[in-house]
Amino acid sequence: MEGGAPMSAVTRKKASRIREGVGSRVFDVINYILLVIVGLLCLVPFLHVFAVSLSSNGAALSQKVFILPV
Amino acid sequence: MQKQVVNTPKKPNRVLKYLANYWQLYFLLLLPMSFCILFRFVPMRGLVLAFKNYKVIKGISGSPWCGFDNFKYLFNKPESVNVILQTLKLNLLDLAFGFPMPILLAVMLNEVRSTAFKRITQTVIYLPHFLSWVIIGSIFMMLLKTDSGMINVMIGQAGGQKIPFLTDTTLWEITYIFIGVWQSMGWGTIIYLAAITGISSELYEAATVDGAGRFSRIWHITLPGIRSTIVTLLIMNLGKVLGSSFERVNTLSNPYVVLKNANVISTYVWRVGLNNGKYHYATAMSLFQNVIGILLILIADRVAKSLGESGLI
Repeated sequence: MEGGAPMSAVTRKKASRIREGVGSRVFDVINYILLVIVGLLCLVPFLHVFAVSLSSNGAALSQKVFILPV
Repeated sequence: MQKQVVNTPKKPNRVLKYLANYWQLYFLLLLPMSFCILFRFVPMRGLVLAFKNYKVIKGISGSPWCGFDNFKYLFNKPESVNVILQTLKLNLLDLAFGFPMPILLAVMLNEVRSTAFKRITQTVIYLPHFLSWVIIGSIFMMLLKTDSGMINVMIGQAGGQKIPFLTDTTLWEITYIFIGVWQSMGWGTIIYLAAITGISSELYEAATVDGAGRFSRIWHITLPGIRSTIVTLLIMNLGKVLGSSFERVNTLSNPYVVLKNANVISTYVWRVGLNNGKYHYATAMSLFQNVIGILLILIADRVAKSLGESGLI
């Protein structure tokens, strides 16, 4: 009996993992996408300033620089 | 009789003994205390200016008292009332959007399984916090200008209509709120993530075993687990509802909005009080702002306590 309790917990855990399946995956994917968007939102202004500072004067003034230096 | 004789010299000794035992802690307290006294309490002497008709030549102590005349003057000016309302409006909007954002982000980050992804995202969203408002202001000027801002250039290339982010009065407010949220959301997650770490993982396991999905685990375990943190931060943020960052408004303002939307207490104090040398009006306005701020904190604290939270004070 004493060995039985942890065994059943493990099997139940496995079962619940399988049961979570699709919904949990979808949640993960959406979560990752949203976090990537937030991360890019924070990073892009920095990259823009960095790119402008590395670009030639002409390119920076004629607004050709966005993220990659020209 | 004998006991009394022994006891009387013991009482002051106890305090001294306590001090001697924990002198390291008191020593550590010395620096923050002296900072507080020097830069927070000593300058409060200047508050007498709020009740004086200040003349630079006569000095602070030589200027005549004028009771509440400064306050009467300020609140009879229609612009002052507008400024206070505008400050309230911007700060309430800021609270409505800026306060839940770190909670949301922290919960989302907590659900990420890949440690590498979590760490990279955290580092990236902390970045804006380390910039000063002057730099943030110029970066966003660069990005959002109507004619030459990068975002409008791209919209133009795509064939769309250019958007006056910084010159239209409504859009300016949206931009202002967005930039504020952008700057503070990442840093705000730290305290929530720390609170989430304190939640026992057994609760999650038990919930999973009982068949709770991801959303119900967030709703029934994560959020109740950080409730007291949320309430504490909300109380502290409510105290700032009438305060305003001078730098944030001033760096984002421009001639199109400076007298309408970007006209908050701190910039008003600077423009009317300090630029014109009317220090007594500036002091009166700041005093009013801070008294309201502390009242709001106390009220919010009472409300939180009556709702069964531990509160702040």
